[in-house]
Amino acid sequence: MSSPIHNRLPVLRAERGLSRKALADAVGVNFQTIGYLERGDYSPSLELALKLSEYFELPVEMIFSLKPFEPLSRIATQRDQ
Amino acid sequence: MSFYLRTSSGRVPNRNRASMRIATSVILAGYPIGGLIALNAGLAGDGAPAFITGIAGLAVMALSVLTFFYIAPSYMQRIVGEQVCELDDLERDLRQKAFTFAYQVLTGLAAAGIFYLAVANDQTRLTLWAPQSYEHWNTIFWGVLLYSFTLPTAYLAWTMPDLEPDLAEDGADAGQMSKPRMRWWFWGLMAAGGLFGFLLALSIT
Repeated sequence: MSSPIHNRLPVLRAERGLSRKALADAVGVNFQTIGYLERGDYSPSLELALKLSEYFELPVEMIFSLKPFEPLSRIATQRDQ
Repeated sequence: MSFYLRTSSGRVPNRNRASMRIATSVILAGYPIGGLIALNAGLAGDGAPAFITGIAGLAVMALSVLTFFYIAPSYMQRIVGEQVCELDDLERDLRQKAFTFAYQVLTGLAAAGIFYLAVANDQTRLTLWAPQSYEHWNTIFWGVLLYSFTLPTAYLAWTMPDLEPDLAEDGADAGQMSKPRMRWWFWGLMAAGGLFGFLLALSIT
């Protein structure tokens, strides 16, 4: 079984005030697919990952990772120090 | 090979996971059980007992086939039976997993069935029942067809994650799917292929 792929989709979506449906429409999938992705129930195809990367204007590795993402609060604390 | 019954409105009827699990189990267990009862009705004796046993077997088979029409328009059946171009990323992923599972099971059953037939036809070892008449092979044919339609859906019914959290957050329009145009050229090709095969079989015999 392949290792789970972690993602920052909920954070990115919240930042931009997007509903799942709006994001789903933007990348051409059903809105349930975004929910599945956010919960880590499924790993996206390369095509969908690149579409999301293009939509958010971020590198793919900023959205998806094989390791859990560090919480933003910790990153901010480290930056302040 | 699978099959999806698209409703005229394009709307996908709501079928919960429990009902899909029960329905697919009824289909997969009911057809072979009903078939065995119907084909071996003669063992119950002559006259009325054999007739009643045969009817009971046919009733179980009919229940199994009718149950398929409960799952045929469902979202899970749509994933395995719809044209690939109409599915999204997640649905294609689920379809691939479901077909992989169904392939493994069907090839396993086919190999086991051929091994059984080989043993059953070897008169020097065991005396086993083997299908001989058109009635036997016809029952087996429709069973294989029903299994190929149902096995991928059964896999999804037992493994697919729930959809409810998404429905609660983003509205209840998940059941509305676009209705793709009929591909007449595809069905025409299928019909022409079938007619050609039939005429070929006639000319050979």
